[in-house]
Amino acid sequence: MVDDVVDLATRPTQLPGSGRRFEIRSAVARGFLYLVALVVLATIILPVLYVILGGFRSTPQLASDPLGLPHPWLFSNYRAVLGLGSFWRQVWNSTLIAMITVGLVLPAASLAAFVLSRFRFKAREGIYTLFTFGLLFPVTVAILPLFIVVRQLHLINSPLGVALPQAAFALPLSIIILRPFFASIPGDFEEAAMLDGAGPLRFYWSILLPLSRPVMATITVLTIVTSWNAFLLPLVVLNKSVQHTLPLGVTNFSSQYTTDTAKVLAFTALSMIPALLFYVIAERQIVKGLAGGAIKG
Amino acid sequence: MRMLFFAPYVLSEVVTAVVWRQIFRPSGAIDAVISGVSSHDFQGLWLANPKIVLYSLFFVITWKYFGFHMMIMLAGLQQIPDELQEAAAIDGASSWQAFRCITLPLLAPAIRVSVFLSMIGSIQLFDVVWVLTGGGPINASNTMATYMYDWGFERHHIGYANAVSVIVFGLSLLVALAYQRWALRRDVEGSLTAMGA
Repeated sequence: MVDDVVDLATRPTQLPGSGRRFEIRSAVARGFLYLVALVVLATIILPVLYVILGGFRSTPQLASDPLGLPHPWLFSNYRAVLGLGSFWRQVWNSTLIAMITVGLVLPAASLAAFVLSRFRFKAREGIYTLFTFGLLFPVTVAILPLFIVVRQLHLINSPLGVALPQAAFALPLSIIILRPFFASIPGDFEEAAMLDGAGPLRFYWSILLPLSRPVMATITVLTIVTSWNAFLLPLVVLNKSVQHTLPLGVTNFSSQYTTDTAKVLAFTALSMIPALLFYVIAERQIVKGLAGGAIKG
Repeated sequence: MRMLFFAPYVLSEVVTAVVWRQIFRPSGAIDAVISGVSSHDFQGLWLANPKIVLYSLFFVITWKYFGFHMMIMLAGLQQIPDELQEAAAIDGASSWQAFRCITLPLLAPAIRVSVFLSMIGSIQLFDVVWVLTGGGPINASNTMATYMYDWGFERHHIGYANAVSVIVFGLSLLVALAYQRWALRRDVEGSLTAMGA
């Protein structure tokens, strides 16, 4: 405290223009905060590293010294997993389901948001509220009736059986993100388009969508990530191992090969890669989407 | 750096659970760390002891969602104008005082959203628990969702499981509405809608 006051008194001119958000003036406090941040970072990163490095070791190595570095580096685990037909089939299944889901969500959500943002009609707010209530009704809660409906549609063991419900459950969030964005596009554009003889659909396709590319990208990313990581719905719908998605495959593999720890780690590491890669590529979109969806609305 | 904090959030809950199952296993990584520090053989029954298993789960879930909530806080921090910090500094506030009296109160909306999402998420928690512990040992880590799945799809009492899921839905609706009514309403008007994810 005394330190701070002295500091303030000796360098008052620096403060207003300094531009730093949080100036922590005591060296001890600053060091302590850095230490906390480092410990948290280590806690977060080490398990991921443990899995990736563990894949380069052998099971006896892992058993005798769980924490050591690979010595020697073994590539056999990764090679074995990459040679598994089931691994690639699961990657393909996950990709296919994610693609179908996005293909359903983008047109449905953008058309709904288009109507809800640019047309004025009586039940508009009511319909919008109905959509927003979907947020409170997650897949977990609906899984039993959903399973029964999917079975009645004979979609058990079909990618559509997962993709259709997923698309439906992705709609509320997508519409909520899209609507304010669509609404913020100036009416002049619409007027100009109308004067040039464009109908509403033409306006939607040629003006609204091209202007909304960033927000559509956000929705694509969110939908793909959710679909890629989904567990409960595929678990219930996809019974045949040929149809399994990656999360199901990881679980099965890890309970099938409980004794071969190294191979389980290699499989897990490989299944992390698509998500991590995708995240690196789409980071900005994800963060924007999350921050926008969570705080503003 | 921020990206590293965010990495676990991108992993699916299933992968998270499989990773931690390996780390928690007897004589696994965690046991090795503790044995190394205390220099005698240590075996914690992280997932097998009904009294410990929930704390292990708390840790894993915190690990996974830390980055997400950090992101919410960051977005909140960015909305606090710099001028306030400067004004406080000119008035002679220490950095702790500035944090306590400016940053924290203005961050409250972000904190409330974060708490809200955690609560709703916990009510519906399934993937991590199911893969990591299956609700065991002796039901010690069953959540409402794993309980429902167990009865519906393992024991085929679909009717009973449906009753469970209706109650789960009722509870989360109640929590959401109550929280919205008492805590969130001061932030944004009519924003049941604004709580994404």
